[in-house]
Amino acid sequence: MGFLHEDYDVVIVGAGAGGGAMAWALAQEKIKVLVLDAGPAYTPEVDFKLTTQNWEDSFPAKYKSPAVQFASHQPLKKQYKGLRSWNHLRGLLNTSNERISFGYHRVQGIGGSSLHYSAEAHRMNPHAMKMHSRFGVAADWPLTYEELEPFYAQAEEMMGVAGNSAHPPRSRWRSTPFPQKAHPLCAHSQILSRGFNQLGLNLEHNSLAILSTPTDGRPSCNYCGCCLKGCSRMDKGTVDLTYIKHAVATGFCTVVPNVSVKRIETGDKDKVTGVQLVHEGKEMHLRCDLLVVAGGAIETPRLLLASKSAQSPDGLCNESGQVGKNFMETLLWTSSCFYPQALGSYKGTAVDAICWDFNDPDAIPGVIGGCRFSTSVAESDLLGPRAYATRVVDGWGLDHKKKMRALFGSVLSVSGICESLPHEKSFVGLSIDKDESGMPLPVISSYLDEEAINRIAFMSDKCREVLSAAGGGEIFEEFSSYDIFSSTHVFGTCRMGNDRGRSVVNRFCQSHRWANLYLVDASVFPSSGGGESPSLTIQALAIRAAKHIINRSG
Amino acid sequence: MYRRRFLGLLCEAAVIAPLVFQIRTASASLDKVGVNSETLSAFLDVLIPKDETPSASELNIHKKIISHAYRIENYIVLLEQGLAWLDRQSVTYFMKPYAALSTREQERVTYLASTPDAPSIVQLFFSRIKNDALFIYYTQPESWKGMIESPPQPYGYPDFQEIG
Repeated sequence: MGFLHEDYDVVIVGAGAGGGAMAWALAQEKIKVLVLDAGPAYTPEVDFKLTTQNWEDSFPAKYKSPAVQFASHQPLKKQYKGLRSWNHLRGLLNTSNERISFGYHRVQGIGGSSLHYSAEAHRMNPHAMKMHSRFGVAADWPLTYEELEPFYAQAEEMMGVAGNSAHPPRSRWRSTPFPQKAHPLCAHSQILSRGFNQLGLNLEHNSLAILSTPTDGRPSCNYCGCCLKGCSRMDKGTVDLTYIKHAVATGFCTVVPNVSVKRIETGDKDKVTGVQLVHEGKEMHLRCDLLVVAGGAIETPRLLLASKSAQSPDGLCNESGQVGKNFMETLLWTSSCFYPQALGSYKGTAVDAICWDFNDPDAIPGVIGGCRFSTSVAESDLLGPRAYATRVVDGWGLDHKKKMRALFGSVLSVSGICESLPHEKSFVGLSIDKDESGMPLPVISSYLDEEAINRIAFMSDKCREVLSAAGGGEIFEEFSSYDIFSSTHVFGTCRMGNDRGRSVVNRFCQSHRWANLYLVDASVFPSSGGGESPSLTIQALAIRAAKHIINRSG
Repeated sequence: MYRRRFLGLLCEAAVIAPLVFQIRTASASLDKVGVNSETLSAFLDVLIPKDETPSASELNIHKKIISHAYRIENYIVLLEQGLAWLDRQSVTYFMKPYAALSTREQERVTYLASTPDAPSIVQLFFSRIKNDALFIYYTQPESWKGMIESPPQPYGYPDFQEIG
């Protein structure tokens, strides 16, 4: 507990994309930083199971994540029965008549959710950053793509992003080439690209924080497809192996795992003074000169709401009433089918190809908000014999075993992810139930309006068309956000903006009221984008916020 | 991020989920009879017989299922009732317990358990034990022949661009 007796210039809560990037950017400038995370530190070659017989297990969480409650029970309508999740062996995956939750999926630990992400490294579509002024929905970003671009470039360099510099994603101009050359497309993506092409669509190289060339002491990828299970090879750009490693190497950054912050304390003159934390079962106080919270769009509003006081009776930073509001989630459709030929479809990087053709917010006919499509064998976890035996191959006995060998590696899978827009019925609040430390649990309320359902319906149609056009056979499984809430990308619960009456932080992610408090995670996103993965944008915002802090202190 | 892990999680969740409601509703009128490991082993060998890869019993899947069952509420009850039903059907049709039947006879009784005409607890027994047995069997490297040669690391798949 030595960290309690040291003085730090900045305390950061959360060691994921935002906290890690912030720590690195500050430590580079000799600003003394302490990074706390509720989860443990991971040792990839020890903790991840890819060399063992249990390699098909999901990401090996080393501790029990705190509960997140789900409050919504939206009735399902018969007219949308074609949007239900199902599997040909199991039937409906949600047999009830209301929307259920499969959970909010994240990793708490040093590196955060980058430890289990697919390493997509996307820049926001600039057209999706002005949703309010263009379409009257969500809120505009209080900064432009142009202002963010240099920080995107820094983040890509740090993470070792591989991409196709000759054909970068549309609408996103670049000041520099991708740091690494794009990965070749795997066999599965080559087949799917035929389907996209048949429909006049483009399946492109995805930009990925996965090394195609050995860099920074890490090897290049060997295409095992298991990015989401924890990369034991360490070619995947996770926050612990990039930002945190280099921050600690400066000598100005201390990282302490297994520390839960349960309350932020405030003093006079609208200053945050410290945090209450729990470490090794003991409750303690830590003084802060400047506090950065980077817990994600669920934990950050939870901490702010739980920190209410006489000075902030509705929760910290909540003078606008926007903390916890504007919750946006992962809206997804996935279709998987048989292909009449063995493809080795379990090989390759997890999501090596992507279609941005419908990513602009006006690209889907009749609906506001865009989407993207991508290959999804790995994200559907169709990677090994165990998954095939229990989800793909029917029957039993000798026939089942023969089919296992015949069908293994011959599936196609494609997903769509679309814009999620704020709705008054979608928000994060506090439960009356508490965790072991006495902190109220977060409660997610999620509601899908007709527009959201129409976006999912568009993605379902397109995924099925693509599979058919690619020569795919019978579809055996589909997963939909229509009947099942299942999110890793969540946004908007502490939105940034210029109007302090309608936002929580300013354009530098600084609290409108508490000048020494910054929030750097996807909670500040005013809109979600049309399916872009948020990690790179979180990093760019954090590096930009760090520059603001450095300029203020200098 | 494993934002779409749900399907894999679903697969694992099925293996560890308690059976509280299903058993309570399905087995109200049935008595406890004990797990017959001989019947279980024979049943699993019908589901997963030997061919170029080992049978379930050769990889001790029956022992793993029993060990697994003690960790999950009501699983033992499900095993007891399902195996007892297999033995009763075997005696009814062939006048011998399930484990003493020929492979062809065992397959006929097993088929009865797999149909919608079987009692609900037997349908539940069949689908759940089959799913869990396959899950455990295909975790064993001996079962991977003809699909993959080893875990995906440390070698990865250098041939990932080749179709086939």
